[in-house]
Amino acid sequence: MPPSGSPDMSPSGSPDMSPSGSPGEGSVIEPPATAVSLDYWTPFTGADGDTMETLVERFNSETPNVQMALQRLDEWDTQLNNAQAAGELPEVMILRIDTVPFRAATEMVQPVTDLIEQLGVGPEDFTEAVWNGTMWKDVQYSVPIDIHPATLYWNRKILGEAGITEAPSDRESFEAALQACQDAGITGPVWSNHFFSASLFWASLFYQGGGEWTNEDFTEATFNSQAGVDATEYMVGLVEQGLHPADAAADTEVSSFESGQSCMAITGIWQTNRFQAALGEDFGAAPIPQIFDQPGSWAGSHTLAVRNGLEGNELQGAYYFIDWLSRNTLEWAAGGQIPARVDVREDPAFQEIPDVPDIAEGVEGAQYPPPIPGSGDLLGGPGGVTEKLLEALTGDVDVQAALDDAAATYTQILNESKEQYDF
Amino acid sequence: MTAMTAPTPAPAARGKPGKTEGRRRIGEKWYTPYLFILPHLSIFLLMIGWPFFYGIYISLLDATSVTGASAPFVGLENYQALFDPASRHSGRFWQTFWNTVIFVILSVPTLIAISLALAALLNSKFRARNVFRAVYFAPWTLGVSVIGLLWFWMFQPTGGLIVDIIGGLGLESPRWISTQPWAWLAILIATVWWTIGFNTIILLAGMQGIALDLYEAASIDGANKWQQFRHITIPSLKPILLLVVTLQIIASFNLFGQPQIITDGGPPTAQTTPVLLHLYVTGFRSPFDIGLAAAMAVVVALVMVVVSVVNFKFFSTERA
Repeated sequence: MPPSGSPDMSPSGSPDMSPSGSPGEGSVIEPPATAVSLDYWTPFTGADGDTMETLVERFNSETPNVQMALQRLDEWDTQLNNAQAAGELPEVMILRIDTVPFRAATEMVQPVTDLIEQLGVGPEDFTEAVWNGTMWKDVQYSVPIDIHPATLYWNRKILGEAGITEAPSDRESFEAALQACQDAGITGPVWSNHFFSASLFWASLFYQGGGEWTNEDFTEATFNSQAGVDATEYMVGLVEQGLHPADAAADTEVSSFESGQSCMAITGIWQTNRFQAALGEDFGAAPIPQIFDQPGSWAGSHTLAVRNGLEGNELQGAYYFIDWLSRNTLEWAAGGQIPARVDVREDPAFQEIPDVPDIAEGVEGAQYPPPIPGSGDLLGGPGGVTEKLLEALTGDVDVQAALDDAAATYTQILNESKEQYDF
Repeated sequence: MTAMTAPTPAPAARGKPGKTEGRRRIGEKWYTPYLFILPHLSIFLLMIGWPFFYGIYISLLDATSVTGASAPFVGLENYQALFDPASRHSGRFWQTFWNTVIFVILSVPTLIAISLALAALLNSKFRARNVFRAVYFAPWTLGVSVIGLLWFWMFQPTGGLIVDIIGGLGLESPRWISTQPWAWLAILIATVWWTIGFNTIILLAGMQGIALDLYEAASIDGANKWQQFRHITIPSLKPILLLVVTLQIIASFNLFGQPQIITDGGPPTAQTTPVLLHLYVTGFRSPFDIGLAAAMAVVVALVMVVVSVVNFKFFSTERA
């Protein structure tokens, strides 16, 4: 099922973000010598697509030599596959970070090493985790434009009445908030039993406990470690203590929070605009509370890549656009995304955007699956963590045994995949 | 199907035997009938025949949706992966296959019984019966995404209409969607509400074709309504019932959208995932393994062929 919780952003009350003062000028990339028109494919079909269109229009009007033709596609992966099979890939495309290694290994996209060299940027200009996520066999294949972490949304009014005026940030305050909601009779779910909620929380807890998805040479799935067990048992424990319902159906964390029937919600940052519109002044957003030893949160990222075989003026034009877009992400951020680049995050105009900067405080803890093909399946795929987590939440399951079972499956998949993609 | 092929002998019978040569119209050749079916046949070959055989071919390759048909030939390896219990692919495939069979067993008798009863009711004379006929048929015109979302919300544990009604009666509602067997029941209820009109309308048309004097004669002989239904309506409906049962088995076997939307294949581990949803996920979401997905499709298609043949055999011997 296409996640109904996936990015659908309606920009409401976007602050004035005139390009002046933003790092829009000063590109070190030269525009191409002759005019080029390039196709640019994106999976943004909602309000985020409108925002992207505005950005592309601005780019086109500023740079007559490079004209980008934006396409919004819904059956994203299938359409990319078909285009590749037909030899009709666009020059520039968005890749979700967890698909970069797969698209690189199957030669859909080519390295952007020379762009990175020309720009003179490195991991310190983004975050180290997002930077590493764009690698395949230690070669960089794409440039991140945003980071979208799991987020804790909270209702200032309901929690305020219980004397809680700050967003829960650690185990104690998070559980106190849950208890306060119980006492106030507000029992809507904080997470729902669905990838884009329960699994995002689980992965965040897993990272907080220092969990690693695989061993270093990717021959063994290791999410059945203590960190994996702790993450699962923490969530199961909240259910057993009666602080959280066992079986909240998919998306009910969104509908309950939106209608004031729950005091907190855990899902992706992309729900920010929707909740802002529904709750107004009562709305608050924060990073996922730190339950275990270190900050950590699940995150995704949209990255920009160029198709394999692109060269000459077209490649130069593509690079020019990628650089421009990665530096002009303020409007994009207002739709519920954290800009990937440090200089945009530090721009005063970014801090003016409501709520998103609050979430961005946890951006250094945002982590991604390992840079190998299919690694997103470790959490969400058939037989992966999500299935075992939902079994544990709704039934009487030996957590360690369940995770061992999933890890055994994925160890087998890792080894098949190692053979197939030679890593 | 019998209903479709039945009318064809009629026009041929009109010509007198032995005189057909002379009756043949000018320009009519041995291939004339084939020319008439050519438009449909060409579309059939292009849209169904070719993909069918291409699918069998793909199932013999180690294909992903990226490699397409340029993938290496691996013979029956994909089939082996489905039938070898040690393979990690076989468990989920057969689990979802049996899920589908469970749904067929649950849904076919339910859908036939309810639609038969509804058709009998709608066939009797009462005020505003055309309104009711339209009302029962109406949901069938909706798309699966509409009915899926509709029932998804109705079965919600917080604020769902069904749960609220059960609660309002002072009873404790089961946790639909997230526990068994309630998740299957939720899918079944949604399916009944959605598709019942189609069977009903066909059965109703069949009932309207039964000669009234049969009922008249039966009632003179003292048969009550139930006996009339049992001994006149049901036997007269047999060809139509064969059609309805066959179509229903195929439709139930093709279960896809309702669990995808209502339960997301859960709870929690693929317990309501039908085989076609599993096939789709394997081929078109991650890991894009279309070779394996094509092998699944071939296995499912073969099972369907066997089921349909058995079904026709069973009904035709019943009739004889």
